[in-house]
Amino acid sequence: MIPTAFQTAGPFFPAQFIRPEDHDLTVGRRGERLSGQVIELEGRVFDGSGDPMVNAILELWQADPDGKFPAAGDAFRGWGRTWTDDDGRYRFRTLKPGPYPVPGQAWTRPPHLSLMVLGSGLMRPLVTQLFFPDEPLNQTDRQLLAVTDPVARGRLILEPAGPSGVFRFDIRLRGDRETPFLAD
Amino acid sequence: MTDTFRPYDDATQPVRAVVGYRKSLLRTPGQVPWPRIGAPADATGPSFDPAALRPGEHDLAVVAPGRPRALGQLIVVTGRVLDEDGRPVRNALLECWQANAAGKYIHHNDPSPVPIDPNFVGVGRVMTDERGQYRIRTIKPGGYAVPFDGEGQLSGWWRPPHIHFSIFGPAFASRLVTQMYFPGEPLNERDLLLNSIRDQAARLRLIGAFAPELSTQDGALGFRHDFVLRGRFETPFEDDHP
Ligand SMILES: [Fe+3]
Repeated sequence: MIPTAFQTAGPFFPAQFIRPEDHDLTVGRRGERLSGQVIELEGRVFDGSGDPMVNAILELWQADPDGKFPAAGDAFRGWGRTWTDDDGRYRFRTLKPGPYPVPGQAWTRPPHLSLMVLGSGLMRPLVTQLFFPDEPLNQTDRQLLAVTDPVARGRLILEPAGPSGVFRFDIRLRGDRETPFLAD
Repeated sequence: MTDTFRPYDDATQPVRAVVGYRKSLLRTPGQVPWPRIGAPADATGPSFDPAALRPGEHDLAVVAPGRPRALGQLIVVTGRVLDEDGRPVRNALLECWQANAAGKYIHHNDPSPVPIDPNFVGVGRVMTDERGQYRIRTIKPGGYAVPFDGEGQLSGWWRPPHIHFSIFGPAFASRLVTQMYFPGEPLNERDLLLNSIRDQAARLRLIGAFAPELSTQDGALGFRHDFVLRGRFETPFEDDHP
């Protein structure tokens, strides 16, 4: 069967669907504080004319600090959602994911975050993956290497910003310094 | 072997930059997307606890117990969430939102002067059961004029009646955000979003089916609408990357 076609989320995505704890993955499924290396991810979303994209919906999916993707009932949810404010600004707080071996392959994935952008004007979701600086496994990651242009590849590496554990990732939807997106 | 996902067939998916829809022209990347390499990040996905849903979240027609039901034509929409092999997807979370019967959203982004119905918010959630089935009750949304947004935007663009759906399947790669349309609406033929899908069969599958046999005693008209999520989740493909 052919998958159902996407349609844009439009400008009216309900605020009710974005709970305050959804941008803070350091809080467990039952409201408990989880242990691990806390990281903050912040940035802005810009459109092709350089204007901030307001009300972009960002969804995050990641492994836990042990490199395990959460299953139903696990305390670590691994998933987060937030939206951009009037300046196009967003923020997530989470635990740094661990590396993990890809089953059946001689390939270990470096720590990374999957990010999906939805919103008005986006006919299909935009998907990308974010990587951490100074991770030796970045050199051999098949996903990162599939972005064959080294300049574009460099844009997928998080930029340390301020105190340790704070990273910046600006999303440029279109134009000169466009964020590399992966096939949806 | 690993879990990879068949790429979407572009003909069955919307064009990314739609002439006449200004925001799509400003926000669609200019670069061709880079290959997505199959890995556990895509084959896994978030899970949601059915117990987290409040009773009544599937019923958009009543905002709270004891309140009058929303103005408009009462409808039920029901169907199944399936994977590409036609197997039911259990415990899929569906989020839905829509305009009221007059075509107004309860949302800070909706500037239209169309009246609000105090008994309608237009936001609901439901999860699929063991057979992949969901069911919502609501009122039929009104169509609405899209506010003119400057150069590059079609003026006089009306959205046909539609319900927005956001669906979480078993994997990050099966995430679906779409809209359901209604049969027999003249605006369907002119809508920029519905008609951004070139493949006719794929386009028509976004239009719900009138199902009078589902109509209820309390006067709700029935519609049937299925969703198909990408992914086959029991038989991994051969790894096609050397
Ligand atoms: Fe809409």
